[in-house]
Amino acid sequence: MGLFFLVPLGLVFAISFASRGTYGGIVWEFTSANYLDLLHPLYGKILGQSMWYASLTTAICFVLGFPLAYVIARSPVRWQPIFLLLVMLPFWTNFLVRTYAWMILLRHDGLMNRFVMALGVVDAPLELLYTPTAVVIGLVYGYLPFMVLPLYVAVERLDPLLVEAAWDLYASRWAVFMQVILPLTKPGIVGGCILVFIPSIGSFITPDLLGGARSMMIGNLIQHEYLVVRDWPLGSAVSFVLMTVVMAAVALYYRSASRTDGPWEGR
Amino acid sequence: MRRGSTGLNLVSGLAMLFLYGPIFVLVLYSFNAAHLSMAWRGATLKWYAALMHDEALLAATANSLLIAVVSTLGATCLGGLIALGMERMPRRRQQVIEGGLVLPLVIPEVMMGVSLMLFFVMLNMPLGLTTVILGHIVFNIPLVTIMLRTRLRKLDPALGEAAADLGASSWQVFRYVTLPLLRPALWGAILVAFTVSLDDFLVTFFTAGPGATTLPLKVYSMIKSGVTPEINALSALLLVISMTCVGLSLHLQRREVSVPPRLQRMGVFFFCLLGLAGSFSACGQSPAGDTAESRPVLHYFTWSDYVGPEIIQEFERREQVNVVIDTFSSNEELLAKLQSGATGYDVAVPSDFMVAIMIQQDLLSELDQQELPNASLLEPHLQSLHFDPERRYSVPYLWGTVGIGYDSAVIPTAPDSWSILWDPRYTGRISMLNDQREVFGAVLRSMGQSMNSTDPQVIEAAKEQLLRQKPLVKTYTSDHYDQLLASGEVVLAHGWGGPVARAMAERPSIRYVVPKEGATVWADCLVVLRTAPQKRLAMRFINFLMEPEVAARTSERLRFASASRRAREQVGGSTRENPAIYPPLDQLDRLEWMRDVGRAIRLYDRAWTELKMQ
Repeated sequence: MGLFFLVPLGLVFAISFASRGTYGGIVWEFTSANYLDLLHPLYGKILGQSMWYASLTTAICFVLGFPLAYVIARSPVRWQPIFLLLVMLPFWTNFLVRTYAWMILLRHDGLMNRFVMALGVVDAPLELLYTPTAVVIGLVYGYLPFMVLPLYVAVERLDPLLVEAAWDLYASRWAVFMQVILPLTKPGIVGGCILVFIPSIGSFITPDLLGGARSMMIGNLIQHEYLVVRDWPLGSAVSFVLMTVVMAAVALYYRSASRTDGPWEGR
Repeated sequence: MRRGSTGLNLVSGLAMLFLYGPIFVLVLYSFNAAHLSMAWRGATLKWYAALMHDEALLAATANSLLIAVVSTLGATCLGGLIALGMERMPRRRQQVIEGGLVLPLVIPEVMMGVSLMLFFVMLNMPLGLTTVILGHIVFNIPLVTIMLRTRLRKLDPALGEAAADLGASSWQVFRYVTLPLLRPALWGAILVAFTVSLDDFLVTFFTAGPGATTLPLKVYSMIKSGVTPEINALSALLLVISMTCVGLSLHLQRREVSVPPRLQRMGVFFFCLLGLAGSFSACGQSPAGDTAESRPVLHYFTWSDYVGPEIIQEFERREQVNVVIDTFSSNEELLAKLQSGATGYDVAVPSDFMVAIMIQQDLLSELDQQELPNASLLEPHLQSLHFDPERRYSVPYLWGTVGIGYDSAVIPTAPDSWSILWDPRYTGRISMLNDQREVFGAVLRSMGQSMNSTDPQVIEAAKEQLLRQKPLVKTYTSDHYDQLLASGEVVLAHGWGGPVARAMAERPSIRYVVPKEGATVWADCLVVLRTAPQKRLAMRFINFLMEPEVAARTSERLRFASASRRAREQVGGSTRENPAIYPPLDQLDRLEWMRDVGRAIRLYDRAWTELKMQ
């Protein structure tokens, strides 16, 4: 099975040192020009911006997803699978169609604007569609369930008695969350964050459709190099840099996660 | 959690509202009378009626469901084994494998797809449903393992040991201790894998063989002919059926409780889905009858909805054959797939510049002119194109121009120059193609240059112009400017004629113009692949598609000009006179073919990236 992962990986690595033929295709002569090209500040900007969007998406998914996972995990056992299915059902619709639905919601005289204007929050319609806000909304929407499911799994296992005990010891709400719930559900949080962060940093349809393609995320760049310019070597170099950065981030994350293991960790 | 539970419930409710808001919209729009518009134009059931007759779409849905169910089961078993195995390893090894599991999530999907495909081709495995399922299992394993690990890492090994001490066999420990403890994580993993598999596009595209089209492949490929509300109707239908399945499994579960209830509920649910896949594929099968099996099969690789189903049926009847249609959504995808050795396709429809590349790469078969009498009825200016002057490999099929679609209700005097796209009066109401060569092409022509310029200074100057224009541009899009024009979201759209003509049908004040400075002309061509199993039949198919009457019908349906001059005579006057569909012949001298610019592509690419990141 490992072969299935190692072959693409090796291919990406090898191609990243080749060069593009005059009319596309891959010319197998060793060069580091692709990586040198990437030193241009332009690409740093794309990477930085993508990391920022992906982090923001992960954070919002956590804030929205944790309460939802908690409520599901604390609901009657027989209802839990139904609730989980209900969280997942919207995602059985084609991604493109769902994104079009968001465009209808967010456009100039779309439902969202009518709603906030009816509430009297704003007087003039907001420009929502084709903005970075729309991109983040789209990303959060796309990956929220991938946060909820691992969190649910972790919270389901959380012994309510421990939380009760904390309350009984007059812990503040914040302390209960930070010192009891959070450490005990850490594996789920780690899993959820990985499942949200990584796909969102590589996404390309959301920034194109909801962001109006006015900007680029690293996923767009990769997609563009592979399937528009047919510059596979440059695309591979970008991918490899992204992989390194993400792996480093994940390693750091794991390290910090295992260092702050709570008192209940060492079983 | 007694305190704070109101707050929790509130946020959860909001999250659910957030999840279902767009779903509500898409269900609502499945009843929208308008084809394109993002605005509401009255209620109708016609999309549901159309769906019932769309065999190809139903068959694709059945494929999707089947692939998702089988690959989910496979990935859950294998991923489960990996997760359990990891538990027995020392902590450091676990971390290494954990890192390794994350990697496939980071590998670009294109690479994943291409390398899997190379792998299958190397093993001589024919591409088809099986290879797609294997591909999906591969990318789902890490997801399943990560999900299960969230549970296993907190599992007390003493529980298993206690059971073993009490005389349980290792199977019994697994069955009665580990599995029940894992169950919530298993549901989670199954749901994640199923969902990801159902919506996957790129890996599916590359690992799918002839006849294994799935729903996402179909939907993405509709970009050229427009995504129809039929897809919304289908989504709404699937949603209702899924909900019913949920209710049904709940009901069944109440009756008998002998099997572990939760797992059973899940089982019933997926069983229902499989049944659904079966019934869909039954609907999706062509009504050709039992003789269909023995007939020769022609595989046509094209854009979604690029040919009317009744035209295909006519050919099937006439030649006593079956035609299987597979779809791609960009020329580059088609090339990547064929280059990696995918075979089994007979006829394909690449665009002009891609024909040039495919000839160079020796992917095409020489045509037999004797078999193609209809190909000699071409428009004079399409008879000898630069990439294949003697038409040895390709027959032009549909053609058109790139220009400006505009709303004459807002812009009363017809613009005749690209400069209208720089007019500050229309700030925020302009859309440009999301295509670097086309966007630069428009600017280069407006500067009096060739759109195939390779001069760095000229490209740099063009970039400056585009940077100046960017604040005016609402969006760069190649796939939904027809919707934006039709619903009045933009009043000027840089784009191909066909989609603008579609927008006209819904908003009659839309007009189309090819600026006087000149613009792109394109042609999609019919080709026979070098590896085609049915070459003779392929020739007859091409000849059939070029029959004036058939070509005219295709032209009317797609709102693109047919390359056949006899078809031009046969189409309705409103189609022939529409400049967005049939470019006026007196404008031919201002049109230019897009050519491969070789290494200069990096200049365009860098300039384009700079434009986007400004």
